[in-house]
Amino acid sequence: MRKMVLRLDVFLLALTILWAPALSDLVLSKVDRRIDLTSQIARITSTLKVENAGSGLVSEVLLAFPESQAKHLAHLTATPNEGKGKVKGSGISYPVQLVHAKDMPPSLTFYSVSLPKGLGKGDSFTFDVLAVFTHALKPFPEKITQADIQLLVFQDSAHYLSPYAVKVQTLSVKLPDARIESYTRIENTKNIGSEIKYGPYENLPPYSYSPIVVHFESNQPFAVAEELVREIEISHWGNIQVTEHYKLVHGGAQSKGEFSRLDYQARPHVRGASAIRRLVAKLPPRAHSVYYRDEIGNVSTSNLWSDFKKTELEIEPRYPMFGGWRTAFTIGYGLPLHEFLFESDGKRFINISFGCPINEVVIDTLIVKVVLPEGSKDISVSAPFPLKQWQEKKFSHLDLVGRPVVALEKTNAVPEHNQKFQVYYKFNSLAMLWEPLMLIFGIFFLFVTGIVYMHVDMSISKSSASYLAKLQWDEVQAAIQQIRNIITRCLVIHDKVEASLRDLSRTGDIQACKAARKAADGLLKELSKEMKPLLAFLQSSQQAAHLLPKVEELVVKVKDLEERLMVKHSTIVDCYEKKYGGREIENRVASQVQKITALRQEVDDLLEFIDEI
Amino acid sequence: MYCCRQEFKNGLQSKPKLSTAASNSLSTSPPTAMAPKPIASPVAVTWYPTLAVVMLAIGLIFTASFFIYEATISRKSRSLAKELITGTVASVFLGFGSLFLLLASGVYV
Repeated sequence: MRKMVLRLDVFLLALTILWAPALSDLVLSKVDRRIDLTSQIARITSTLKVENAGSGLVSEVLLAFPESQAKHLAHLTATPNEGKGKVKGSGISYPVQLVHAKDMPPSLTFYSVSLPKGLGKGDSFTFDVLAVFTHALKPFPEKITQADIQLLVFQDSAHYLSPYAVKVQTLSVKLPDARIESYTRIENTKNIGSEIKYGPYENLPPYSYSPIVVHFESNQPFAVAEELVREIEISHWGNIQVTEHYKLVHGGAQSKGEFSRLDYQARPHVRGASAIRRLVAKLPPRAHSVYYRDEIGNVSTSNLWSDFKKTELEIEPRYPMFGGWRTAFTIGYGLPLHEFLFESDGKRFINISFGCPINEVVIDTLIVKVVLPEGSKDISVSAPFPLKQWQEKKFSHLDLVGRPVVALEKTNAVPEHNQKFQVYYKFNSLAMLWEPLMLIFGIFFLFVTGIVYMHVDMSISKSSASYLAKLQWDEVQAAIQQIRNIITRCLVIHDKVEASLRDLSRTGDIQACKAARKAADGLLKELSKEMKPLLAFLQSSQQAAHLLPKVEELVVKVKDLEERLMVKHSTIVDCYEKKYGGREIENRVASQVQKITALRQEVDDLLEFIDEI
Repeated sequence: MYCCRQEFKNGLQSKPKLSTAASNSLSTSPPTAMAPKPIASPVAVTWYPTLAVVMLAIGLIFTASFFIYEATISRKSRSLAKELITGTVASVFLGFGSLFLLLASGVYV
């Protein structure tokens, strides 16, 4: 402890040596600082009331940070002060920029806030500055056993470090617990419960610095993600897949000695108070297909709650994490497309949160990769803070040229960086059809292979007896199939003739019936002509010898059937012309009808036999 | 360095602004063409399983008829056009069916 205070003294000395006068005539008439140390992230909210004591117009206010703080600074914003009942997320913030002034002390880092309108003579303006620091809380002692409590040290100045004179100022430090090991006592110091108050101090010159050190107990988990890679994959088929790869370390006081699982299980709040037991991730509403796994496989110690506002995922690492212990895991979830992807001015853009969904995690390196669909063009990124940016290619399911990936890197990210960012790109909806087309062509290729295989003659010896026999047999088969087709057509025509007879009995239209008969005759003649060469081929072929009798029998039977049908037809038509009664007609054709039914049965049997060849 | 770019906010805040303006004046004027329009998938996500089953079933029926044709009709009397048409229809249905099967099972291509 003494060493630390000594170092601060040296720093103060350096400051006094490098004393420089304030540039402008600004005066801070009131400064209220609130330091929130309840988590591992130190948040300093300062309410500044700036007054222009000079005569010129001033539009910029400088904020100073000592080097020891500046290197831990993760986030800095200036927002309008809205009084006690402040409304968060009004969205307005003033631009803050890093400035390098030559005539300023080099051990200080300056940021300049641009005010919305210049301050005239005597004008005053009030605004809030939120500065967020990571790794600013140092564990002291640096190594503790399982049973020890974790103590942290925080250093700052009781006086607001500023290039301007400060009239009235106060400082309050909020701690997670009322148990405070020690704190620097200077004039006007009060300790109420878990809060330490410094001030008010009045009329301090520029660059006043009065180091304070607070040493307090905090068992807040120090979840630090050394690296977090978030991959956001857009599929225009209705899903955004988010995969987050964490490399987590407990950044608090290092664990020393042995770890007793028994002690931990028996009295977890005493033996392992500072261990990370569980982490809660707040996912967007309607997140689905949530998983939590690591290299071994699924980690079953997780719970999921969801309502219309949010989805909460509670995950427990495989072991309680003590200081310095590490773990690596992956969580993933799907999000509905229409809530995050929009179109405007012919460009599509994804509007999604940048940071990590787990509460109060400090991320040393955060890489967000947005995987756009294949064929996206004109990619541009719009983010609320500066980022390192590059492009990659990713090959995923059914990709030909790879998907364009926009990679964004942010170091030292805090929950304040959980802001929406946008990636704009151009995409033609027809490009979505590439994936089904690839599948279709893949399957079509299989069919074509099948067709080629069945058509190509793959025998090696083209002159062997068995090969020739096979060729002949193929021809015989083809001829028989053709004959069968012709016979089927004949039977269809027969059915038509029968149908015309039924029509005749219903309507009595003799002319229509005769016309149907004429048409049928013509068709049947053609078919029998077609049949002749096929039969001749079968008769000449040796291979068909054993089949020939059956086929010939079939042909004869069909011919017979045809003749009888025609006889029946002429008889009935004749009877109608002579205006015979129904009974008379039936008597005349009765014998024919019987034979026709028998023949039809035989033909069907033969056809069945031929089909089985 | 830590400046807050207004340009990024304009694009998104135009929408809530419009909606509040509309609710205040109780007018039902449609949002301007500049307002971002959400993009949804061409086919509702809830249909994917049904579409997968139906299209795969049709595709498999055509595949079956293709192979029955190949196996039963002799080489001389087979018609290439018929084979190609059956194959094409079967592959279109199987292609879309397998796509929807992938989507329904969570593999968003």
